[in-house]
Amino acid sequence: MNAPARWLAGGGAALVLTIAACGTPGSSSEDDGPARVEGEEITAPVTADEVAELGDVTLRVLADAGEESTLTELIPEYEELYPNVTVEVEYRSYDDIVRTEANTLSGGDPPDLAQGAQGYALDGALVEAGLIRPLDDLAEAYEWFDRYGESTLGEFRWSDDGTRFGTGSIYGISPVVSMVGVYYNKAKLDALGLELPHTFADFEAALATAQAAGEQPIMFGNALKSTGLHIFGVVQGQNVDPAVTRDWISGTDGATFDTPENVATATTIQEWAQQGYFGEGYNGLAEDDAVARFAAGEGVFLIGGTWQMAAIQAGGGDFGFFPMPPGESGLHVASGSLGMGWHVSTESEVVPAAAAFIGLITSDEWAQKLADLGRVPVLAQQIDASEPLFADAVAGSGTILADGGNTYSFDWATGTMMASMGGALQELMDGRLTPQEFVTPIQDDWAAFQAER
Amino acid sequence: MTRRRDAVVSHALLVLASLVALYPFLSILMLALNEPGRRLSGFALPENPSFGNFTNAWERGGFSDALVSSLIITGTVVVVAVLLSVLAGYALGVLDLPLAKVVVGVFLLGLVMPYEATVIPIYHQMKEWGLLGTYPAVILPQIAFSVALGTVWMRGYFGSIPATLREAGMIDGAGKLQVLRHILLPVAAPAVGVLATLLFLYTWNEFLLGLVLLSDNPDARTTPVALSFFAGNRRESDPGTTAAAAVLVALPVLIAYVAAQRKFVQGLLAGAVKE
Amino acid sequence: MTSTTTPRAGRDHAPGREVPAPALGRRRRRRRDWWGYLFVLPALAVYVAFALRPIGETAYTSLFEWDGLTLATWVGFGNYTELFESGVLQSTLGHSLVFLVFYALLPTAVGLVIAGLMTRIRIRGLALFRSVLFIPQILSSVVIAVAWRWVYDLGGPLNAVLDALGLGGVTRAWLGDFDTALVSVGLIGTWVQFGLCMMLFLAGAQRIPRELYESARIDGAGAIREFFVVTVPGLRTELRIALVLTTIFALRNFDIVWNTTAGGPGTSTTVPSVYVYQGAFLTREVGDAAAVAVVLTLFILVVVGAIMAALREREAR
Repeated sequence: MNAPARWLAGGGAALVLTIAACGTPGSSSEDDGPARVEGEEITAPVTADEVAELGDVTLRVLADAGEESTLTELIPEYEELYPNVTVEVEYRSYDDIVRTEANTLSGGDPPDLAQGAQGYALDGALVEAGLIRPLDDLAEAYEWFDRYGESTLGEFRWSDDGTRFGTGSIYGISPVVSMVGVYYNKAKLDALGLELPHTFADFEAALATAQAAGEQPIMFGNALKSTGLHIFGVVQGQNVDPAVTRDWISGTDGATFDTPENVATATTIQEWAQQGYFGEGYNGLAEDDAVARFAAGEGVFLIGGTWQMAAIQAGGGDFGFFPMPPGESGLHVASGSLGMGWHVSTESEVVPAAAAFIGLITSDEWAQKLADLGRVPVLAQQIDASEPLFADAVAGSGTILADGGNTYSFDWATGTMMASMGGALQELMDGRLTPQEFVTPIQDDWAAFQAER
Repeated sequence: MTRRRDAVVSHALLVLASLVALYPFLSILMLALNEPGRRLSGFALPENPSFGNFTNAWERGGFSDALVSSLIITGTVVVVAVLLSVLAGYALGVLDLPLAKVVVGVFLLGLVMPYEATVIPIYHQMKEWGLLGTYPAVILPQIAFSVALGTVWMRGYFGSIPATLREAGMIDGAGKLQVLRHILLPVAAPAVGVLATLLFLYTWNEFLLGLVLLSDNPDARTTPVALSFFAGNRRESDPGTTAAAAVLVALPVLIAYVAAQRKFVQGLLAGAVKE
Repeated sequence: MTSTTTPRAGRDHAPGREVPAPALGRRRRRRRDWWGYLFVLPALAVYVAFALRPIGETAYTSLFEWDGLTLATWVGFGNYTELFESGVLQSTLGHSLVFLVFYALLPTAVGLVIAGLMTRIRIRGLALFRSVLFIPQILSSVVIAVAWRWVYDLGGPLNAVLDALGLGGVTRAWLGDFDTALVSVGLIGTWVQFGLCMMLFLAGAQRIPRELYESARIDGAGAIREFFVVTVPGLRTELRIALVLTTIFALRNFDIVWNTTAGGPGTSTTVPSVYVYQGAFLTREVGDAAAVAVVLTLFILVVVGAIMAALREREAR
């Protein structure tokens, strides 16, 4: 009992024996292959009769937790239109979707419809593993290109092997826009005697004024590392052409993150952090908590997404939203894209029902309902936006899109970019990395990922 | 009187150590007893104690489902693992098995193995079997690790029973199972009890396997996993409710602990037989 | 402690079990009992299927580049060299070594010193103290993490105490600060383990024969010499037990890190187990994760083996 060597040896021998029986990891899933259901081409908008032919069926949906208020309204309407279908929804947080969805869809009993996340971190893997179905037929039948604009949908296009982003078949669709911008506390801005900033320099001046008056200029919570990426996106817009950023995120050959412009961006963010513009302890504060504090009246500005509007309105205060004001280029630039795409599982046996669901949520009638629920619809020109904060968000998103300034999201770039860039940003803001040291490992992560593709 | 001074100093140290051991739990208990929604900081002593945070946490966190899941999983693991361990421990400790030492060595290896080393293949295996998000997905690997400890434990205990007692039955020509049931088990009951307590504690508190294998299915999550999801892994926007959830999760174990302190303490101290 | 000592004492009474290489004649007389393995089989089968075999498979998986979804590519030891060259192995194991100090060495030392102070007196209410000091051991690590997250919070009790002491300058979000996160998580481990160590040593110290202390005192030993000459050697067994238990806990440590810092800020608290979880289930670098799991397992075996070899029973064969 006291001779470790004896049982180490015994155990070691046992280990070696057990290894013999293994096959190549992943081989079994290749043998079976996902059971593709063929011949379900959708050629025209699905009718209630076509769905009724399925008999009594269940449509299983995996959705982002932020979608709950929307789906709570949509599902009863859907079930009334298609009475033979029962909808079952499971909600997961964005982080959980990125982490777990590939495994859920490749498991034994995948949901029929699932919201993914654009880019290589999730959607690329789903396409590569053949887990989601191309939606070109739906795009045709529901006239997505005419209604949403051809280029808008590029972020859902993939080559069939999932290795090339931005070209090929369409694999998803979203009826809403997600854009990062600046929320501001109107009362505080007034008290500080500040106008809405119109240039980036104005904005930086406003930060300094706020700090001098003893306010925390930017409410910020970065414990989960993702919020820093949004800050980087809006500051980067002063220095970098948005098309260059999109190319880099899309994995275009020869693109690089290691540029003087990105070093300049990192320098600005580091200066802001060292000035104390973000307050203290932000690495110990989660993003949702920072939003809650901002809604409760702490901080002058909050750099956040349109998806956080409901949480900010919940505070009951008077808030506004503007796109980050432009630098010399005059372009409004921010991390931004369509919302998380709806995908159809290759194993779904109720494709018409799934198509009808997507058809409903992307319909012209639903654009207004989405707006009523505080979501910014892609079809923004068709809606009436009277609530002031919401009107700000619609206008701001429109300005960014009009400038072609939406730069996607950095975490789309590789499977590990959220962690590597988020972690590096924390170190940059803490002064542990120089701006140049910050840029290099991010490009390395990107290059390593591109090399493997 | 140095003796007297020693005694005072020693007891003061013990009291201090006890306070340190208790404080983190007391601090969240205090936090939880505050009125819901109150902005909290510092020691957060409740001015108007309220159970509002507890009802909030209970309603929003799905802890009733989680408690049921934990009970089913822990109950199954403890019963099955104790049964298998008693059988194996008896054979390896009392019967004269060839290669017994090698087999015991293999079991001993399980005592230092981290779950991290097994969780990847177990995950993919359970996925292939369609068991993700179901109780067996965590029950099977938990039994596997529990029998390693249990077998070593029971073998040690049975081996310590005087040979005369062990062999008495054999001479009468009783079967091996009879000897185990009628002669050895009654003697070993306390040791079995301590083992069961220890396995209860380990299984109830296990986190990684639950996180990996049960996350997909909110109905099957165990209490630690449900708490981790509820609290987010870094959230504190609503510290009162989060604290209440943590207290709720701790409560069943604390109650069991108060009820069966001796077994727990013995188990923890003697969990040391491990090596 | 009774349970640890009885089996050890009892083993000497058990005939024919610990006797090395029994004589041939005897072996024939006492027919070796293969049928007895029927009793072992159920336990062994579950153990092999769900504990041993997966470890082997992990080792095998570590030789592939695999996303967990599509067919894997054989890379031999490529994952290991990559992890080494990128510094991931060194940094995660480095954090583990820091945790080893806080989770294992520190509580052992604290427990030993306190137990040493108490060898000369009779403790009143020992059972009560023991029950209280064990509470950190029985709480779920997620509960512990939630509690300590509050203690370390920017607006939490620790900073309140510091403010009250006029040390407002050092207050911070302890778990969100690059300088303090690792140590802060380490101290949680110290808190979890110190009670167990203390009680192990106190129980052990009560069994050290009084005469040893008396003769030491006759030799003119003070409290400190007494501690090193009598108490520490007398607690050799307990020391080994405490160190092995706390070391395994320190190196396996996933739950507390994951639920307090999730490896951050940056990667300042990322330990191998966190890397395994992230790689295997979040970023789909399954081969890398498996390689780290293998290294972690070997590391645990080596450290535990070393502790056991260093502190083996003096009377050991």
